[in-house]
Amino acid sequence: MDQLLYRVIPDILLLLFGSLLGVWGVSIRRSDLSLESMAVYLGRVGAAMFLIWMVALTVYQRQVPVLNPGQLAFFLGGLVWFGQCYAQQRINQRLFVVLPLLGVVILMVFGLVLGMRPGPVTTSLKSVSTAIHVTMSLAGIALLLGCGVFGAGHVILDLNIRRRNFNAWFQRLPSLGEMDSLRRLTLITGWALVTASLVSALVILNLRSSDQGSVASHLHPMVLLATILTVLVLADRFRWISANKLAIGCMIMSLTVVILICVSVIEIFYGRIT
Amino acid sequence: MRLELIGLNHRTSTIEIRERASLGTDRVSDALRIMSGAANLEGLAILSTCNRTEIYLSPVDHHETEELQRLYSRVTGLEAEHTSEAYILRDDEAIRHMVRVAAGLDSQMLGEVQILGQMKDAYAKALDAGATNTILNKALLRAIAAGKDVRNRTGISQGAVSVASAAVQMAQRIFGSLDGRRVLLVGAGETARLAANHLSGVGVTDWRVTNRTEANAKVVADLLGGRVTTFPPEPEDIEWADLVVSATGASEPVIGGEAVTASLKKRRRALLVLDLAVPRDVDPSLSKLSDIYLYTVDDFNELVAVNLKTREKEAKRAEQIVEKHVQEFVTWYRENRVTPTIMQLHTVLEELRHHEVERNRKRFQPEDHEQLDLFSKALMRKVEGLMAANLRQASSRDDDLSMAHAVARAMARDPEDEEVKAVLERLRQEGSH
Repeated sequence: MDQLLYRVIPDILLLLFGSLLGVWGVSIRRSDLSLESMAVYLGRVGAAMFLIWMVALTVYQRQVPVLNPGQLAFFLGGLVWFGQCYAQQRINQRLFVVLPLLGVVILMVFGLVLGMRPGPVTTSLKSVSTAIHVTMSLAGIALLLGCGVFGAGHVILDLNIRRRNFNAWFQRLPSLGEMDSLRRLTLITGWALVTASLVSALVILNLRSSDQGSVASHLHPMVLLATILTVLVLADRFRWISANKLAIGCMIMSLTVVILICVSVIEIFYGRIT
Repeated sequence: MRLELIGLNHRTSTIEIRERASLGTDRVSDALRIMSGAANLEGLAILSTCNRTEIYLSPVDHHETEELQRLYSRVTGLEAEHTSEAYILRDDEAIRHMVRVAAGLDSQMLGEVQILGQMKDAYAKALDAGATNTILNKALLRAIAAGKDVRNRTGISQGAVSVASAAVQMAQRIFGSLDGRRVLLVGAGETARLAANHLSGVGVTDWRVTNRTEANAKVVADLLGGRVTTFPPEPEDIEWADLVVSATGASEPVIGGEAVTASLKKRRRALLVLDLAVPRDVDPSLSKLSDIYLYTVDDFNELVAVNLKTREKEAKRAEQIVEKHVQEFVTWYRENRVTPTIMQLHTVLEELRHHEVERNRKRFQPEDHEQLDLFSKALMRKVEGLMAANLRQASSRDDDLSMAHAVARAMARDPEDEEVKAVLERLRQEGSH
């Protein structure tokens, strides 16, 4: 069972998602709705397999997949893909799927390179409150990464429309309006999840007074992220800036998220938190 | 193969000739009814559009060229001197042409989608009139399936190929669905109306119309179910709209100026401005504002040119898909030629089985009779299945019907039997095609 959950299934998932990336890669070069339908179906199968693996692993190790950086990377990859499947149901993303899919595959490779089998872990990582906090954080981060991707799509299409470049990006990206509404949805939901995760962390902090110093330092990136998100949500709500500038803001926020999550992971697993 | 077609299209004849050859819905039905009982004709279908009138036939024996021309003349009412312009295709060439037509590869506008619906209508009419046979049914269904396949698997029908539809494509690239979008129409002339028609067709229902002559604006507004507003449009009208379509004959820009620019700077949501007028109606400096997308006729011409080029590129892939469908039809046809032989085989084997079972039934216990039936039927099915598979394979692989001949003769208890003679005659006809 150990080998199956920590090695065999993750390998199969990487193989499946790698193939899926290949199929979508082919559809960039040529228009083929049959191939795309098959790829969408295969993507759903992949999401279902991911979910089954996550549940099985959670039951087996009595904790969600957060016990080492490898598991975290895989967990985040799965959440990104669930978000992608949800977005795919709302709009036909076509070649735009390649971007999140590439992200998922990179996270999976990271996960396998770093190793999925957990070593000795601290008690704080085993607790239910940690599971809730980390799951909310990762779900929020997955959505915010999606938000950055929709922002990037918006910027690319806007540029092509303005420059009269009637290329494949122009023809086959979702419309500006669709990407704008999905960007808004992922931004607001991501903001809500990150804020809720921050609140849950503060509750944990109060419950474990002895760990205050170390946990608080891990929370600094989270507080910074929540602040950036709040500003973006307000700018979006009150139309302080144009849609294109908001999209650029979301891309920058997404990159910040990647940096902050790396800082957090390093601090949790290789830093001072016990 | 017992398939042929005769037709005229935009490549072979002038519009005057095509108009005269064209058949309305009623005339197609009448022609099908009249012709379907003709000698040497097992199946008939007629495709008549503004660009082509084609008759698809499945004869017992191939017609001579003159016979087909006379038939075309009889159906369409076209004089003999014009029917000589008609193209005549037979067998593989005929099915290839039918598939290419359904795929939009033979259309004046490459990849156009209407032809597939027209092909479906032609098939439905022929079916209603009882004018088709198995071969024509299969050929038409194969053409329709190929048409769908080509459109699904290539981009041959994608992208607008006229200025008005390019404007709609651009609006869809920005807003996605145009349902519920608000449009300000500036001008009430031919171009403005054409653009409005295209936008109405994709779901726009909320209109404001403005024109120098208010009476004309009112006519258009009434047609669209919108309301008339002042000319030139006020900043408030532009602020209201998601899409501005401007096509007036004015010599100076009608949309621009400080008030409009100030209003647009504040709006913070996408506005698509389609300037279809020459000289231009919209101040070009508006395109510098974020969230404002300004497009002119030249831009749409460029988009149309790119789309046409893409379609031509996709046509190469479409031809490969067409060829695959043609080959599948040809294989089906070849395999199907031995069906009468297989049916004869089945009849003979079933008679033998039944006879032998009845003859030997008394040797078995009554409770074993059912098992005896099951066993004999299973044995017969195995023999019949093996022979049928080999017959079909031989027929499809090397176009050789000698095995079918041999089986038909071998299975005949009486070579002079009428049924056996009919099977052999059918094989002879198929072999001669």
